[in-house]
Amino acid sequence: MNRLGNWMRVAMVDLRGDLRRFGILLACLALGVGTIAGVSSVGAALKTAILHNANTLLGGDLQIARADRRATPNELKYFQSLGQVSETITSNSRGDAVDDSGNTAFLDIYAVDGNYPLYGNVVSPQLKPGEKPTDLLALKDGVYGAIVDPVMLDRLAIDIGGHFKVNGTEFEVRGLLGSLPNGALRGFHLGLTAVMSIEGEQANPNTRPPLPGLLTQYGYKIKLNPDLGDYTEAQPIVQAHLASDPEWKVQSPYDAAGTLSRFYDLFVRFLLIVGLSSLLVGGVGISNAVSAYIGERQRSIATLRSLGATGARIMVHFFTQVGVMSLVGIGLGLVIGAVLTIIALPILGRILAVDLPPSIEWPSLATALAFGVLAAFAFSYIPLFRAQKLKPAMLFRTVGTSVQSIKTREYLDVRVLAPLLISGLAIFGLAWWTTSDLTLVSYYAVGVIGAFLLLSFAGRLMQWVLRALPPMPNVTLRNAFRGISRPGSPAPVVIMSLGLGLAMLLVIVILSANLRDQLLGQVTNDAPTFVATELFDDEIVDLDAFLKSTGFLQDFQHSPMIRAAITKVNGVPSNEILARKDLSGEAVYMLGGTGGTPEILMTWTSDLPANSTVTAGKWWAPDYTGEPLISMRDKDAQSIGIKVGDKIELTLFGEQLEVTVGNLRDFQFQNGINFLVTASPGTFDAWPGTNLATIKASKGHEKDLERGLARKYPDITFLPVGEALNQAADILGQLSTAVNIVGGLAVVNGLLVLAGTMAAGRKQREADAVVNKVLGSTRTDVVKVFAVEYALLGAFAALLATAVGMVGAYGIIKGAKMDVGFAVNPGLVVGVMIGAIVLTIVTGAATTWSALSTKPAQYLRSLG
Amino acid sequence: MAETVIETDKANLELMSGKSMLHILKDVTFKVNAGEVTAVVGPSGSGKTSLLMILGGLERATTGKVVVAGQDISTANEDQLAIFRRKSLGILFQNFHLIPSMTALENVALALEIAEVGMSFKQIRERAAAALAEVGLGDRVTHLPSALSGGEQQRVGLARAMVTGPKLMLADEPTGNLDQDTGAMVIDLMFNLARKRGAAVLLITHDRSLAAKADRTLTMNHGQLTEAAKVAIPA
Repeated sequence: MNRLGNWMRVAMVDLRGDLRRFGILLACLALGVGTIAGVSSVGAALKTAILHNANTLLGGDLQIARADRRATPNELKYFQSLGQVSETITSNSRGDAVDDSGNTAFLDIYAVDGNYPLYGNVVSPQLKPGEKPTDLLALKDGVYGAIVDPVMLDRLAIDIGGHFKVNGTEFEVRGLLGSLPNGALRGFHLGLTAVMSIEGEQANPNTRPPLPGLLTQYGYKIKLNPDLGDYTEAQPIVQAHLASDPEWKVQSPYDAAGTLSRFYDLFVRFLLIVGLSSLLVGGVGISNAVSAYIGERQRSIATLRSLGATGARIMVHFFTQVGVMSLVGIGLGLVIGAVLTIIALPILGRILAVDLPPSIEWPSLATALAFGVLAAFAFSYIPLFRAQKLKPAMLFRTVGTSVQSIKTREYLDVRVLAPLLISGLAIFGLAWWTTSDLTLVSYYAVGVIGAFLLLSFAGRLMQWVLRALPPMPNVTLRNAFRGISRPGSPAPVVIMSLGLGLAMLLVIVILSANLRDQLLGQVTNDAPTFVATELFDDEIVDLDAFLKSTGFLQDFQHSPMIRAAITKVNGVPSNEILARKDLSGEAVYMLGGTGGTPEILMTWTSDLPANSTVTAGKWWAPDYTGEPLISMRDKDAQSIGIKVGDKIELTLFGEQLEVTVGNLRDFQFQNGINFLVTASPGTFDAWPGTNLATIKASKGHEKDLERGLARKYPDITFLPVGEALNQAADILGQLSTAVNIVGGLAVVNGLLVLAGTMAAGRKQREADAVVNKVLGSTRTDVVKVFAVEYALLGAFAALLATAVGMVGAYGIIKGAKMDVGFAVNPGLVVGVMIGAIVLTIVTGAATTWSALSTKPAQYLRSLG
Repeated sequence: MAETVIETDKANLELMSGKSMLHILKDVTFKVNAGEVTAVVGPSGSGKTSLLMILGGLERATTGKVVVAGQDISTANEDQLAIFRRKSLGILFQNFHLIPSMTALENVALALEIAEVGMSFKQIRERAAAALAEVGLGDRVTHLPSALSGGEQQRVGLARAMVTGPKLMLADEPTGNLDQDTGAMVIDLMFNLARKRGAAVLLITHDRSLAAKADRTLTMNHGQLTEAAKVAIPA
């Protein structure tokens, strides 16, 4: 130990003055570890906060809810026997200005009783901390109060104290809503939130949700009596008591928080993988930096060897130096991660409506530390191994700054292979442990190893091809080719670092673009501004005329519709099918399993709907008059197990109708209106159908049209689909921003590596420039050669990165079973290519500027 | 009778250059005794430095026997050679090869630390300081190599080479980067120290005036070593 200590002490003395050489290593490690520490800490804090505050987030120790009605007096009595009860009703409706302005807003109605909230506070400037909203919501002078989203005031052009109407009941704005204690668990909700009393909301009970799926939910939050224990004991008792009525859903804080926590878990897991990528991209920088350091210290190593130092001592000497500097970089990263977490948590807390006080998550920092140590070891081991193999005879011979590389067969040496394998497996294991997702980590590992091998092989292949080519007639091209293919050229490392960074960027950009464009981008462009259902034929005629008269209309379409439920599939009741766990969300919705009415909207038509393709069976003839046929979305049919020819029982207006599955279709909702069930003409003739209308306002006139429609048709709810999609797009945008920031750090790490590589080749550049100048080249000639060389490298790296990035993004989309198509915008690829070329030239120029301006005499004298 | 420090028997060195084999040293056979100062002269490319390398265990003779300080180094492995160098050898380079990040004292102490002479850290520093004082650099111990002149750097190199008390001192053109007066001073210093300690010295040089100061001079020509006649140095 004493001997080892002495070896390490000497190494530390020798480190003096060399600190600046470790700049890139420090930066790469700090950035990679900082990203992992930050992401992991935020994720852990979020999870802890959600699970610790689950009661507040749920609003009670238990929530009992259903979608079709309020509790009966007997049921309420039972709930009250469990503890203090707070009743809430969630629904959607339109809020209209009371004047004739036609100003209107689609609302997320949150109706509460006097006990709300049982836990936490409603935050509003008009409420004292801890004060319940009861007083503000009460009936005063014949008007109920409301606490509303501040945006609603702008929409209705009113102020606090102003009045608005919901379903014919007048409300007064008495407070502005900051947040609800259970806001985070309410998740995405359509419309602007308006909190009101249950009495106010129920003043006009004759309302109906504008679309199936927009549910009214009747909830009873319960603060359990102490003698019942906690929710773990009470939940099974309540569930057993309500077992005879399956419409009642009993939710514990853990159930509710678990869903939210799992969502954030998934998101954080993805960010962690991106953070790990940042560290691995930085790993190339670590490897380059250690290689360059060992290269520059070759003479010192040889001197140590000539003084009698063994290979083991050389290894310990430089391992100590690199280890200490790595720990400094990792330490910096941990500080960065911790500071970012402390800053980010309160901001994130405000966005997510979860109490997230600044905190340091030690286990997350420990994880980041472990990742950093393992990555630093894995990426510096080979250059360190080379150092110990260096022979002292070189002190008597002229050498460059590059260290002789390890021959391929030497990688099979157990002393090389074993440490690399162990550290690689440890990184894999740690990633698995951190994400708890073996499949994700396995795919990721295959992807990373594949990318490393491909980029490494491609760099050498490029050199080999350029060497094998006959000499170019153009002297600039010839010299540029030579620059890339000569021994010791940084080309393979440039291709590796730039390629990995760009591939990472492309994976993130392609994923974001596909998610945004395919899920939302196209929809937000093409989707209707409003949808209205259950319009009679004469209303359609009238609406058509009115819309045309406004001058704000871009498009108006309508389809016949009817509400019907799928009650049996091949004789099996839907309720039994719904007991299966493997149904897709959409299939559950189609079978009426999402609560409330089981009816869904269906249509009939003789023509194949636009933008859909028949994937099984045949579309019926235009004049078809045979037995009733239906067409279903293929992926839903597949999920349920429905085939062409199967018998489906529909229930509508209390009657049953058997139909046959005529065909299955593939379509994307974002490509136009498509119903989950479309019937052949005449199927629903025996029942009164209505119409579904979609209205697209001309750009910039959405609000004008909304006001016009509200004035003209006060009794029809026009669902603001466009606005809802924009809301969803905003949420996705926030998530994308987080991914882009973390992904951006990976790209910055790639750039650092690139800059480090270029800087390491500076001496060689200087020598090349001087030789060329001595031979009569002008500075322009030298610049041209460098520019062509860098441009070729940048273009080649971008080409490879595009392939790797596209395969990576495709793998993630398919691997994660995301319900989006895969498309790559050619403009994006060209942009990345041009960006990569410019970036390589600029980085190259910035790091080798001294080479361009080196005067031959000055350089040659310095050699003397 | 003086102890034999170097004894080679038909030592050959062959190295690959591209696809052809170069025969660098041809049947080199000679002996050097303890306390004897031997100069090797010869034209560039004649094999002088290669001879020094096989004697220092830095290169392995292709055939033949090389025994230095009683150890057959032609069959030793890398780690055995490292131990041999730390215990029996001191090397003085043309380009000094001091560790740039270490002070003069630390550079000299490094040789003792690597040799693992069983001294405490304090004793090592005292001995290194004494070695520096011996070469006239007692007041330059805390200077980094970059703050020392060429002559001073070479004297630090000399102190480092001698501080472990080696049996053989190898010097490769040690005055090649020094002016004539400084070179002569370093050589005198080296010879005196070696003689005082009974160490053998093998000096590679182009400079016949330096060679003349040695006890004997060998000539290397096309890889073959021959005893040279004493050359009269013009005044």
